[in-house]
Amino acid sequence: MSEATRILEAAGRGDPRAADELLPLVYQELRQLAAHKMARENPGHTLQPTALVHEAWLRLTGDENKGWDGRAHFFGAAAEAMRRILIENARRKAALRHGGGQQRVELTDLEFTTPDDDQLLAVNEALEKFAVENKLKAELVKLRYFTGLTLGEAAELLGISEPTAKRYWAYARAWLFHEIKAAQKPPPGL
Amino acid sequence: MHELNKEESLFSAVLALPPDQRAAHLRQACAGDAALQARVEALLHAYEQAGGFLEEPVLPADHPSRSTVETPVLEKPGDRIGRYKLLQQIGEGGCGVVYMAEQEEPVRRRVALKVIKLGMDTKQVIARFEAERQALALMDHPNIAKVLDAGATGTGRPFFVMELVRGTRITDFCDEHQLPPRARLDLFTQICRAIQHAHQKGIIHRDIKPSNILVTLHDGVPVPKVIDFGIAKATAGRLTDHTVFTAFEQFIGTPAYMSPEQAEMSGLDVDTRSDIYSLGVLLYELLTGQTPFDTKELLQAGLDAMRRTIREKEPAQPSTRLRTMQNSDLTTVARQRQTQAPRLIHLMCGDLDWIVMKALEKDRTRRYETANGFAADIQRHLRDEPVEARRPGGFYRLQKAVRRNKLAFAAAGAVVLALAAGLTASTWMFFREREARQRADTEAVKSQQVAQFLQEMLDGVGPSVALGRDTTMLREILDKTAGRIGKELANEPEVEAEVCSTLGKVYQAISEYEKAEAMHRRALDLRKRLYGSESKQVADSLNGLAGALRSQNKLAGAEAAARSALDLRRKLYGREHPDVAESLFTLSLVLQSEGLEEGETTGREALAMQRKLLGNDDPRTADSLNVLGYLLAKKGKFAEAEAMFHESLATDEKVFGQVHPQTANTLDNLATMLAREEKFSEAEAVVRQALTIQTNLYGNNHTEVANSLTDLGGILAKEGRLAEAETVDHQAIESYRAAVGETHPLYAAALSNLGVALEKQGRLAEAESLFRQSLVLRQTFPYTPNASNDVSRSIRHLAEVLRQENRPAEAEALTNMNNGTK
Repeated sequence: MSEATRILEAAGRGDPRAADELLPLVYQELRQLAAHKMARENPGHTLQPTALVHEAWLRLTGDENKGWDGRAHFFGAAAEAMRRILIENARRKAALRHGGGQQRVELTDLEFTTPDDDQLLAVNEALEKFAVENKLKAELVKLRYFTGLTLGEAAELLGISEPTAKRYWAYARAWLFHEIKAAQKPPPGL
Repeated sequence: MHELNKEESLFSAVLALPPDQRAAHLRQACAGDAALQARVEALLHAYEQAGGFLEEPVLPADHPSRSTVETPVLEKPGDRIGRYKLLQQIGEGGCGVVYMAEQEEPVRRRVALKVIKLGMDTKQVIARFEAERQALALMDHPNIAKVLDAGATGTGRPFFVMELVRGTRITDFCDEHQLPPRARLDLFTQICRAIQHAHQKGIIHRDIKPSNILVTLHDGVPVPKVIDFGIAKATAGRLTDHTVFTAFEQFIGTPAYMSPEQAEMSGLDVDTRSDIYSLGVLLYELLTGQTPFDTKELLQAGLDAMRRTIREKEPAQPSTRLRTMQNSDLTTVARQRQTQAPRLIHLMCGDLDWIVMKALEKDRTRRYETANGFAADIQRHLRDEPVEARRPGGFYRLQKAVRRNKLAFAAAGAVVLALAAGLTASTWMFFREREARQRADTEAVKSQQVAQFLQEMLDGVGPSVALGRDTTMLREILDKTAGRIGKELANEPEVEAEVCSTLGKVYQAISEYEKAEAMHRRALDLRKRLYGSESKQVADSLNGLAGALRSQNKLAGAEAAARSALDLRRKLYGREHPDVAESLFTLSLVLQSEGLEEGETTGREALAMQRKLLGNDDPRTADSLNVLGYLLAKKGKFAEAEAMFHESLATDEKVFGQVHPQTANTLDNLATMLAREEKFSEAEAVVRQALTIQTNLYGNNHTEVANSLTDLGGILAKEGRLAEAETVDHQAIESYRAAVGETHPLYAAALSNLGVALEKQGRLAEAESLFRQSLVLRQTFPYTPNASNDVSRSIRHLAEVLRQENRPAEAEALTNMNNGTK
């Protein structure tokens, strides 16, 4: 049994340590997968995060993944891992753009097919704030936004009904949109 | 688990209302809480403005990978699709659901209807199908299920209609009915003929796998039917899709059956030979119960690793796969084929191994050209005629050996290239003088490369090819190079000397001692002229020469050369120097061969110097430890020898790694010694360790492996574990057969070993037969050094068995003959 399968199964049984182990594992897997793909592709190629997540899922679990609940844990971890990777990537590129590029970039630069980096960073920042009060809803956003699950799938993974998910989604979108707009306005008094 | 806060519940409640009622409701609900009211108003405003914000995940929503997340099946029995009425679901595969359906017009009949599950571009799929429809209609073969129709379902998914086949997938059928290998081969050749028929009509199946070959019983006779013709192609456009992930989906379920060119996923370059490959996989599975590469492992490795495996990795031969199975699995596989494990393995060895491997060639030009050709070769095997898929010889075998040893792969290729370039160069010499001169320079460089590459190759592959027939090509290269140097390097004496010296070392390593001697002598002459007789180059050649002479038992000459080299090196480098230690060691070997006690002391002196100068972790120190340990073990100084082996081993593992010929060699020596000490269980463990390494390095069919198997069999027999010894002896025999052929002393010895194991079990008739075979063989090669001993040993064994069988007269006659030969 692979390390991943073991951890996922343990997480599925509710072992909290396994859940802790899962994120670094999934994170590393996604990073490697992405870097590997970038290395093999032509310059200018971009990666599709959602495809990456699904491929990682297949890679980690092989073909015996039907219907066990490690899936929920995986996608939870993958959403978080993908978020981190995209944000790191966007930040690094922003740093380079803004003259912070003296330092040698150690990791392969990954090019994702994503909305522009500024929006990504803005969403992320807002999402972090949102998560303080609304952990589950933030999770829903992450699952949808970073791994491309449908509302129904995300609801199933989170153990909530689809109407509830829909309500959460509407609220989260409004909240985040409002937050980002507000942040973009110049602070009053200037 | 639900999260509720006031703001959110109010927001949701208000949002649920028609827009014109919202403001009033909000005011009422907030009841004076102006902050809350303002906040929810702001959120509602944001909601109106947000548009598509966040609705697109970081990946566009229409990306095909979305469909991987369980697309619900929309059709159900009772539904009608076009003129077909779905009756019941009869199968579900990676890409679709199959229903039994009833067609009502123009004829009333039952058909199989397959709805493609994935979010495919229905129009394109159907267009591709239409393009091939005419060709499909031309197929008319009893072992092919006809594809009748294609179309789109109400929900816009493509579907295919086929002749209804109520059968079991071929692998399940064979196992359930416990078909013996012969019957499986018969069934398989029928499939080949069917595929051939399709190929002749210009149809490639592209997705041959057990679930697409169903077997039904007609009057008790199994009849295979190939289904799904034309479907893979119609749905295959996806493979050209740039989204790797989509292609990945295509894999699921069948990567094990995918040909290397399909794994490329260029999608363009697949022809009938791709089907031949998949047929090869099918045959592999029918015979061994497993696919060449494990589906699960392939999937777990990830897409790129999977593609690499399919494109580059040599699968184990069927016999090898069987041998390396868990015992319980092997027993099951054998039982499902109504045979016993050793018999099954034996059956695979040779023809069937080669036939299957030929179909599985990575390079499709090496596969069978047609499915009929494939079937014909199987029939030749069944009729005991020589098969077309011969054991690859010469160049090809060397290539494979080298491929197994990844380090040396590049080197070998370069040697061949360098030689080819050299040949071209010499033709050019006839043309222009100036250019010829330039070419000659290149040539010199090439030869240096040859020298270097041969050396590298030797480092990597040397021990692995040293005893097997793998050396054919190596020998050819060496001989050609040796023949060329005098002519082509006449004006490059430095390079010539260099090449000669290297060739000398290589010849020595592959046990061509006379040639080694000649090369070293030539290098010696050249170097004396070039560098003077007191040069370090001369010392090197003398040292090499000493080794070559010792191996030929020309001990006086060897001792003289070794002493000259030693004296010279002492003069050049002083008393302590790694090269001085090397010379001491060479001398020690010569002296020991001469049976002189001084040999051991010299060896110890060399070792002490190496320890001091090179440290304990140097491969040269390790080598000395190994050799000295071997000599001490021969003298019965077990404890000290054992310590040396262990030390040598530690260094080997550190320097070369676990999986290295050197490590295995030291383990072998240690095992032999432990067996001599009668520490059998330890010896067994050690020899098994060596065996694992060697199998890893060389595969199963190699003398090194066979030798270790022989050792293991001997140890097991000594422990009285005769049944196990028997199995291992069988393996040794097969291994020798594949590595050196049947007309070889080692093969004869292996037969004899098995005979002993059987005799001890009282299976006298079988033992007798083996001893006789061994004797006959041994009588045919009387020129090996121990031939007469071997022959008389066989006779003694045979006579002993005959006596036990109560046939004293025959035993007597044999013994007399034996005395006659002595």
